[in-house]
Amino acid sequence: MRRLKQAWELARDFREGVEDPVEHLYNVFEAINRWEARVNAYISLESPDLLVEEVERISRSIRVGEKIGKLAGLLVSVKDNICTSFLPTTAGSRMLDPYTPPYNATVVERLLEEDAMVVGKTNLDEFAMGSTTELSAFGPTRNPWDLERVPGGSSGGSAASLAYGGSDLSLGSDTGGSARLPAAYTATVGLKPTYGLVSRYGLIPYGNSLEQISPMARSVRDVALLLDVIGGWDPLDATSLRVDRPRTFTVSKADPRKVTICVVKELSEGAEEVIEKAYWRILKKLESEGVELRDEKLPVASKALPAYYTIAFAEAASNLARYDGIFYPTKGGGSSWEEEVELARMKGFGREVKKRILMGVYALSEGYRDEYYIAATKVRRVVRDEVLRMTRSCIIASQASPILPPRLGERLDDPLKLYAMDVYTVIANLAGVPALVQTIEFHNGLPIGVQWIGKPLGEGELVSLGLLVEELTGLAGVVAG
Amino acid sequence: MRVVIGLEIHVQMSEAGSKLFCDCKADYRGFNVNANVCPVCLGLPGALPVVSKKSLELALATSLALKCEVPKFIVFTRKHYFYPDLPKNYQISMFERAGGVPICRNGVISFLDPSTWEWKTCRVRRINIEEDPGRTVYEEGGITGSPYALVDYNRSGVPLLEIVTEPDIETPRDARLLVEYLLLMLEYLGVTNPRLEGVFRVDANVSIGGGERVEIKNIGSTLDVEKALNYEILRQTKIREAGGVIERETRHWDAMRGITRPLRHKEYEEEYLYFPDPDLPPIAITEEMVEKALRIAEKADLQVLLGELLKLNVPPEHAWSLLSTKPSLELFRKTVSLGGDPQLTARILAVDYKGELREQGRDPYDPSSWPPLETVLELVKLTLSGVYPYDTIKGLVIPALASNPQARLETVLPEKAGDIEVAVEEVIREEVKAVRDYLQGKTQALNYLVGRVIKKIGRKAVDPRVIREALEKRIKSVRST
Amino acid sequence: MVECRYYSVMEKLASLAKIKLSEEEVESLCRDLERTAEFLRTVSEISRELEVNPLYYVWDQWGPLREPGEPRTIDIASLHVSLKEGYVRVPWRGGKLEEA
Repeated sequence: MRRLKQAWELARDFREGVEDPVEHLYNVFEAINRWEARVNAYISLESPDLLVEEVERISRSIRVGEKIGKLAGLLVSVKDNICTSFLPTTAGSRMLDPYTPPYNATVVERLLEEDAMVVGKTNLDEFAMGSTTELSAFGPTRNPWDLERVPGGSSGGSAASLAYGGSDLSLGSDTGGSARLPAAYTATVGLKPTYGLVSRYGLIPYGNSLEQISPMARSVRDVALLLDVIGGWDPLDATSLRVDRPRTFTVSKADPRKVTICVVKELSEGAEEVIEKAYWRILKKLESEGVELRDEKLPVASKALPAYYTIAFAEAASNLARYDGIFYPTKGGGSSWEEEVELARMKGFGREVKKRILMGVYALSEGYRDEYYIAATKVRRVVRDEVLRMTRSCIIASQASPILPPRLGERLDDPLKLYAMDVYTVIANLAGVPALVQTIEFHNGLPIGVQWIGKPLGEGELVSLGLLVEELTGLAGVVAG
Repeated sequence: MRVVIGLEIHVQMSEAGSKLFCDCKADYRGFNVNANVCPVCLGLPGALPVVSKKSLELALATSLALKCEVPKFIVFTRKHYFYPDLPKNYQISMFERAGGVPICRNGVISFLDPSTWEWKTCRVRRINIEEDPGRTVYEEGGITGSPYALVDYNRSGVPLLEIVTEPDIETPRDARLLVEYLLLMLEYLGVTNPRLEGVFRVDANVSIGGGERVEIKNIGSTLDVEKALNYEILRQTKIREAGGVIERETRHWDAMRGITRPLRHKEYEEEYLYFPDPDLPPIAITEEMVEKALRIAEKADLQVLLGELLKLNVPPEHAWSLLSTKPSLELFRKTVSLGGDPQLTARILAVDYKGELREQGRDPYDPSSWPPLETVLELVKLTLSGVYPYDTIKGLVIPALASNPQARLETVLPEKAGDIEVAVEEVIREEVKAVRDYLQGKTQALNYLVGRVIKKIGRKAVDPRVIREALEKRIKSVRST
Repeated sequence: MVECRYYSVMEKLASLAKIKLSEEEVESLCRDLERTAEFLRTVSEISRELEVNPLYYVWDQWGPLREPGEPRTIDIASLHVSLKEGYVRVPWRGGKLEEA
């Protein structure tokens, strides 16, 4: 286990002339060269020449004292379901290989405004449908902490790039835990923001009503730095909240005596023993620091997982209807419209995607709608109301994953086993509230994470608690190898 | 047999400025093929819709003009079907039975039969706001044989009103009158320009003698509304008289051949997988919005406008003519407000000038076909002064103005009567022989004399009939002395 | 014929979703669908007892309206389209598209 300087420290040191961003870029190149062939975190990488040119421009600006952005000199990896006009955006699907959008996502525009360098586009389960990053048309991503294991998903490429030092910060997306599960499996930090805090303009949709682009990094402070850059109202996204840019980077470590944590029974049991033990150890530790622990119950939690998947599948079936062979690279070769569409979708989509589309059509179809889709939206209301009620007075503690990072292939034989990995994370997506996952311990070289769920727009409090936990664990900035 | 007709009218909001969900233009005519397109209206992955304020204002004004119940908020739904001109393979609309909330429910339209001056009413079931698909053309072989379909997406995303009536209409003629009146209302509301090619489409359903309802799709003109319904009623009547039964079905109006044809049955029952669009949260209809829309609706109230005309003793047929040609009504109202005589102004504008425009093949709906207010005002005053007989105004002045509306009035006026008399006097004195020939019964000598007078008067326009009259009168008086 | 109760359902769903299923995937997909459908149906049991309205939008907040702005026009030729005189060509009755 190594430890790297946190990104916010690097950015500060570049600005103060203590560190050289050019040298840093070469360090990152070196990590990518060393790891990438084994890990497969990236689907595409920016041309090194272009990055060198850009970092030299930044270096020059610093030397002559020009104003530079908050992320100047930092290398950000971007999940490949976030549109970039300068690099292909495939969503991990053959359907979009090779597709380069004619526009940048709002979050990408904001990164560039702060002089970040996009180092590459990271691997993911096809259209973000998966929890292991094995279901990509570009092959699986492996976990740098143990190459036989998965990095979690669907933002596994983003997490893996951070875990081996192949990027300083990363943008993932989180529909049901897609940024948080990988964080738990790679000893990184993932923050799913409040629904509507970060613009979805340019995020290739999977489950629109659930998902958020999510900052990922190797420390809590770094995640806050990235959130502040990408967050805040965007007129191009009608679901974007009318709020200013968040200010979470400057919050300070929580005073334990002022923190109340709700320990929700249903979110605290059911995991492997080592995870459960680690979970209770951190809670007890926090309690000994002065944090108040309060027992709570969330009976509807047992239905959250099927409700979540029903809604996600329904929305996915709709969102993925547009891939019909006309605008995108994968063609069917059919000789009528119907045939062209059916063949393009047969060739372009992987098995899991097809399955989810079919399930989504089922959930929305006449005669089954009430039993599936409508029922799920009712459960969603109960979950949301309960979570909102609870988070008014506390931060909810929850396990991050019921299992340690599984081996490749281990979870693919049964769909329900794959879905069960998200059992703790989907609650925050159903309720729209922010949730942060960070590492609390290592067990046989594998990280174990914990999840904190906050109130709407309560990202600052999650960061504050995260900083406290990070101080207790001492795990900020760790990388594999 | 009793005929029952209901209509579903789709009208583009061509005057809304932008498309419904993006900033491309609502009036796509005049663009090169596929040049009025952006990521949103092409449905590119990640692009998101945001409702145009203007479209909603116009839809709301329409709803209020039709005395609808306006909801507290509206909700858009997705309607899924695969078609080449539908880039997302779903259309954003407002389906009520799947969580959608339309902009209008339970309205009523009063429409005028201008030939009998009878007002009729028809209930309006609802109005939806939705997006228009692109436009498809076929190559050789047409829709049934063309190897490729060719799609122009310039129309994709144009805001549409879908206005659905109750089956309250009793004759095909009334159906046509309703559509004509509705289009005129929408023109005055500033919603649409009814004369643009393809700006509206009508589906009509009709049943006779309490039989099953047959829907006729794809009617593109008001005249065809009447024709298609007449054809369909005749068809159904023949079947009934032959002892047959009318089946519930959808037929297609073939405007070229003037017949309705059955549409082929779909493989499965219609399954549109409706659900509320997660990208578009409900939009509040605030009191301010309603007030603003009411002001628009009040200004454009056709019944009030007609009432004003009748109160000025404008004959009903002239009043209708003015109303149905918006630029002429505007000119009329300004002229009268500055003291122009209402009846005379109406006659000049609504009958003679408009008739002359038609004669010359010019567009009476184009404001530039009409002279400026000052010209009209002068013309009315001049006519009332009796300097010229109305025949002169109608036969000379109006045609000259109609061919050049910007001409100054004095340049198109014939000589005043006094000037003609002087010229006549001189010619009689000079042309003694010709006068004698005429007095001796050589009538063609008069034509010669008329020519001499015209020559003497010179370049200005003059009515030969007036000269002829003046000459005859003068010569008769000479003889009698 | 595959031994799976959901076979006919799956066929109809595939037709609605316009996805042709390959021979190899039909059987396992059908089994997965069956299992998944049964798992998801557990939601309906509890929801029958819930006297609440569906929640489609997580925040009880009104959507915005857009003021006029500049079009963000793109060149349609930058997509993977087959163009003819500016029109996007789509196979209709016999025509085919080339793989990019």
